Amino acid sequence: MLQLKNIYKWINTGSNRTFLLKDINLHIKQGEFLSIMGPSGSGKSTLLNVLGMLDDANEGEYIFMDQDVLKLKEKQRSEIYKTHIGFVFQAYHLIDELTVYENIETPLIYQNIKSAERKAMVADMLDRFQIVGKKDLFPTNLSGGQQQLVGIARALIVKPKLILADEPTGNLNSKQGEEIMDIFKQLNSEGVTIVQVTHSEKNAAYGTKIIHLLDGRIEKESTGN
Amino acid sequence: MIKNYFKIAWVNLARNKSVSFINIFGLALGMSLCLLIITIVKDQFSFDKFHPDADKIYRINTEAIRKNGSTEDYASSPYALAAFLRQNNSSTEKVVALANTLNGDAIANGKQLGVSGLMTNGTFLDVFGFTLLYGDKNTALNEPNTIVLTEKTAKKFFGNKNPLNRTLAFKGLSDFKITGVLKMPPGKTHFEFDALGSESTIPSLEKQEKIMLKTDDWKNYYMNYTYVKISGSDQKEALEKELAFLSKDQYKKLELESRDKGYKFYLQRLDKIVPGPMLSNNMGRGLPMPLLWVLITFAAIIIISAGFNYNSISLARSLSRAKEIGIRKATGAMRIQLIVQFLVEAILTALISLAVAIAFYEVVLKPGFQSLTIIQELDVSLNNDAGLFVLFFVFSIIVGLLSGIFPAMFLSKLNPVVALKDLGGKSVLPKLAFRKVLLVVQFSVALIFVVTLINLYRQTNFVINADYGFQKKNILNIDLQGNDYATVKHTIEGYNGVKKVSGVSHIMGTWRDMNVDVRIHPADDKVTVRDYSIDANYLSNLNLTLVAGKDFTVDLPADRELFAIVNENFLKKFHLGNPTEAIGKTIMVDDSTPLSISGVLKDFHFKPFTYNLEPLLLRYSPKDVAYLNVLINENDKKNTIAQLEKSWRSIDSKHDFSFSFFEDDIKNTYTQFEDIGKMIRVIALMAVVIACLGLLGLVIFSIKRQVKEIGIRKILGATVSQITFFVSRSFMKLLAIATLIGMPLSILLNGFLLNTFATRINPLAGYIAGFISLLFIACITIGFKIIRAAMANPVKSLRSE
Repeated sequence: MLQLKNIYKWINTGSNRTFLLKDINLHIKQGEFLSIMGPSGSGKSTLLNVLGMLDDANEGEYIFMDQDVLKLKEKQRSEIYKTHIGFVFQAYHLIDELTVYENIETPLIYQNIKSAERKAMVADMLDRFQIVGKKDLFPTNLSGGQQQLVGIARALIVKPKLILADEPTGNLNSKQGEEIMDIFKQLNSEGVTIVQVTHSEKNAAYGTKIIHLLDGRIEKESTGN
Repeated sequence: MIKNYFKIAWVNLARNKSVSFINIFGLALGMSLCLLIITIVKDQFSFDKFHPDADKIYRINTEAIRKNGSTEDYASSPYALAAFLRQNNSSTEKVVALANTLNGDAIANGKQLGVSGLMTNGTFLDVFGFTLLYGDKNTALNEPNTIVLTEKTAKKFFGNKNPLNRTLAFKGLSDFKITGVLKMPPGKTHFEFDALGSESTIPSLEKQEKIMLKTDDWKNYYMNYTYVKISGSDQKEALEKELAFLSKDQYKKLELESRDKGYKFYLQRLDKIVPGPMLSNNMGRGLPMPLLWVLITFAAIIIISAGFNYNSISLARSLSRAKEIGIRKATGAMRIQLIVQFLVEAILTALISLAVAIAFYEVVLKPGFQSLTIIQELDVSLNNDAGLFVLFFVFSIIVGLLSGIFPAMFLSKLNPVVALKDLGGKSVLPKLAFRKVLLVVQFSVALIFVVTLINLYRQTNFVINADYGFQKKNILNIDLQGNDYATVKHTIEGYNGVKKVSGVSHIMGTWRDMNVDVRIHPADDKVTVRDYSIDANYLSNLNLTLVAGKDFTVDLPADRELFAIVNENFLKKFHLGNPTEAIGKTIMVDDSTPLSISGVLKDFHFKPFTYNLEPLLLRYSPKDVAYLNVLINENDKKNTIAQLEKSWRSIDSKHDFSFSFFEDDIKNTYTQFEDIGKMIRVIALMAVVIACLGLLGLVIFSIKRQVKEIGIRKILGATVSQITFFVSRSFMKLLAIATLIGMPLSILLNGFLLNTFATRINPLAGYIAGFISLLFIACITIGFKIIRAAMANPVKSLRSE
């Protein structure tokens, strides 16, 4: 599904060049569940941002569904991630001013989907995660787990092929975390490719493949269960 | 302690340069305008302070009540009133009359200069605080034909020599012996004159019919000022009663001017003259109080608007200052200490703004203000007036306190626990509502000024270029300055480049006015009609169209008037039927002169466009011609003018050749509107800049608040334009509300302003243009910031660590 070839990313501080990613080669197949592990500052989030096309690599090649992402124009790139990629964040990043319903609906608005259709799709999502009763609440009225459910619902509403999750359970207690991971597993079994960044060995084990990053390099690659 | 506050304040200002810039620049703009107004107000309140017993001296003013119900107040009063009070009244200690009958050219020491003087007696020097440089105060103005010059006038004629006992010959009046020179007064005064002639000269001048003033004429309330000195309030009451009685009693038997119903006399205390109410025939350079109020209002609006910005920007910064406040509180700062700290910061900002404002005032505002023609000779320099700078200093401290107090109260209230814990959170942020209201007010004000500016500009342009209905291109108006019409005309008529020469008593299309009472039958009420005396070339030179009858001809007697040419409106006013019917009918002019209508002109605008079409009376009277209209060849204007000037010098060596193009005369008629336009331009510019600074502040603040939301939306697929639209939507809403408030007010104000013109432009285009230009400026102001925020990489704003 996607392939990273010799990806480098760096920042210049004065005359020093600090490498965030060094020679990353990665192949992610359709239906895979990849966990990225590593200590703080090892480049996990940077890698995820590059995968999500939020950040450019300085060097290398990124092929996403047969397209060379780094050579695409901004507009085409945003078209790809708008329709194929869903994001889930550690801090949920819901819009506080909008209700649960509106939060989930937002990505559809940016895809110019008609109002009636949007209604049906959001209703499906609310059903699926059993949060129909909470649709008119604001994020601040929800528990962390519930907020993350909304975050996932929002990521899924565009029927993405790829979900990128940056420590999705980092702010949750273990029980809530487990529930979220179960949902990811379920999604994965339905054919959605998932890439997650995590600190937890236990959560990483949900993946079909695990990579360990250290100082911007892939140090170790292993398969999960 | 206080030093420490200033140090912290300075560090805070220096650290946040862009915010400090918005604050200082906005305040400085507003303050510079306030400085101007403070200077003007202070100047106006420093008049006539040097007279002893100023609180016991009053001027007698005249309120003329018109037949149409309106009234007009005059600073002048009948000379007969002063004479009467002197003889018959015991309630006044002293009466001073100042007859305005000493104007014209005077010759002394071989020089001829224009002098405008007043005629009075020794009481003047007794009552007012003027002193003599040369001469004896007690005798200087006693004898007939004596005169006292001001120091300035004496210098003009005689240099630094003592002119006592020399002779000043007033052309057309009499010779005067110089018996005194008035020292420059120690302060400002509303009095304005070059010389004081002795009042005892008046009877002989009156007898020789050299002046229009008649000593026993109660009807002429234009040519004399009367001042009285009273010893106490009882006397004041008695005098007021007396004046009320006189204003009825003296006019009972008189036939009043055709437009007047009656008069009232009232007292105006000397120290209330400047600044004072709007009066006709006012002396000197005092501004009327209403104008002063308008200026004060403008300045207040602008400075309040600038103060709004300080408020809203300081509140916006509470987010970044929360930590500082929290730490200070946690380490034991009392709330009052924080309040003082924030106030010191505000005052420091205001003081820095003052320095910038003074620079701006000196470089931009003062020169601009001095170029206005309606406010001439006003003293607006800042030099050697320490008191003024003390005022400025106090003013800027007040501005600092007022603009700083609300943010100080708000910021010092923050709970340290909340402030320290919830750094990125919203609990420390004030509600936006208050700041939105401020912004709406600012933009409403800006809109009003911009719209008014545009419409005033369009209107002035319109009237300058409007078709008056007469030909004015390439016509040169030459002021004859007392020279014989025929002589000058014959001299220049034959020149190359001169096509045609005609004459007129005063220039059409300007404010200059003459009028005469007209009636058809002896029993009719008299009606005042504007009249012009012309020669036989005038109609053809200005290309005026006769709809009936014929033009004047040169063979008409020059010393006896027989015919009149009128306009269509005249016929309507006096019910004289259609033009053909009207020819040959007789009208009575000035009680005694019957004129037969010999021609009827198509209506045209002979007055500025602030006037409606009115009846017009043209009379054939070459002896009253004071201006020549010279139609010259378009191609060779320069040479022709040089030639005309040369021949002028051969006729009149004493006066300079004085001419102007007819088109410029028309244009200059509207200088006061251009001046108002200039003032509004400056104020509108300030209002717009300050409003935009406010908007900018609000945008920066609101983007800061929304930065996370913008990031999320971007990740969810929003494009830059969608984000831009989303962020600017709330500002557009504010602008819409500001328009809803400002537009009706603009329409009201513009309607009022344009109503001074009889022929008006359609203000609609001005409203639209004003709205669009303000919207455009606003969009540019915020567009850059918003687009930059929308283009920012969301990864940065969403980073959790």
